[in-house]
Amino acid sequence: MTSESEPEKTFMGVDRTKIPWWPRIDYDRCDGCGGEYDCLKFCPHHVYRPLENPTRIEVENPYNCVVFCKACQKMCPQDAISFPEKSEILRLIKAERARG
Amino acid sequence: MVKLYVLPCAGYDRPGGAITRAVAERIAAEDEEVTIGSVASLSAERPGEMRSLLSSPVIVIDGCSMNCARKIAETRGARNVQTVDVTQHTDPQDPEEKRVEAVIKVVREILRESRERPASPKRETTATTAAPEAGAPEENDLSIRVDKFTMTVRRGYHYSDNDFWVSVEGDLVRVGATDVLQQMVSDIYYVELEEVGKTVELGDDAGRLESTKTAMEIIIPISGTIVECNERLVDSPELINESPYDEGWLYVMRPTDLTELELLKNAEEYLEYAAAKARKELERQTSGGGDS
Ligand code: SF4
Ligand code: SF4
Repeated sequence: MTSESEPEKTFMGVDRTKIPWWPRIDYDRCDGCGGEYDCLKFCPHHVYRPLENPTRIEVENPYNCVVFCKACQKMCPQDAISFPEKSEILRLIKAERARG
Repeated sequence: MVKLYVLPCAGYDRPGGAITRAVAERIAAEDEEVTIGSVASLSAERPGEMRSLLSSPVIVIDGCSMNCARKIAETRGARNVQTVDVTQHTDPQDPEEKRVEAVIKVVREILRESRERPASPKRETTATTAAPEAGAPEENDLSIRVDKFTMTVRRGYHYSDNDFWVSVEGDLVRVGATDVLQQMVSDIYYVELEEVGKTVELGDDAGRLESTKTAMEIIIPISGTIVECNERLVDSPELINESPYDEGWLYVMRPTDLTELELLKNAEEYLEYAAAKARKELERQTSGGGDS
């Protein structure tokens, strides 16, 4: 009835679930900001879920992440967040589209 | 027959701004001689828009103390401007509908007066009598209203799913942020741009924006080399809010591969996408207790 999840279903015409873009967390570094979870607080897209004991972050909804967005990376005091290579992703998107 | 030009402000996302838009629409609906003006089109000095502005009495409705609508009307040479300041006629505590009503009353009053007084001596506009043209600036813009957002897209531009636009200008392309992005992030107060000469790929970030709501990277919608930056944004980042498709452009680039345009959406497709996005955003705000 509503089209509420429309924007995330595809990206550039490609099924969103075929695009491996979401934050990768380095668990040697992430400490959940001692319970503050800066990345979680920053991102409005419900990508993250906080874990406790020990505090750290988990990517719960990877496909909610906006392809090519890296905004939360800079929020992380531990530099624990990374993303795939953009050029790889772009190549993949182009290839998917070419396949039709 | 006196045409009247009613100009709501550009602060769509602010409570006052939404009111000015609603008032203009209602007034235009009940009075066929009223033309709704567009701050964005005035910024761009569109011929049809300039003609309407300069040939009619102008009523400006500003939603906040920035008075952006009055300022643009004045800088574009409007005479005979009457200003209605929403903040002076309404109580911000009141529900929006009540505020809209209050402002409509004021505008109706001005309309009546301006009709009773003989219209100012007829002036032929010498300013821009441009090529044959339908007159309405909206011929280039498509809008959709989703609750308090009225989102506009420009026909002929190409749009990325990250909410940036590309317009082809000969061998070069101009890129900018869409009206939709501008409204979602709200007032932009800082823009950092990448340097001329840098080569970027579609999806790369080049520069960033900071607004009262968030900070974000500029995600480039097409691969190429930056040949020009909009230096005016350094001092006037609000141009992105006021005129996203014209004065608020970000870069001019020499594209590496124009076939990438196929990856982008056209105006109609993007409008649909944007509307869905806005609905979602509204849901989030209402369910999450959103912003105040
Ligand atoms: S901001 Fe960094 S350290 Fe903090 S929770 Fe997120 S990933 Fe972990
Ligand atoms: S990259 Fe952007 S959308 Fe994705 S999790 Fe981070 S802030 Fe959220």
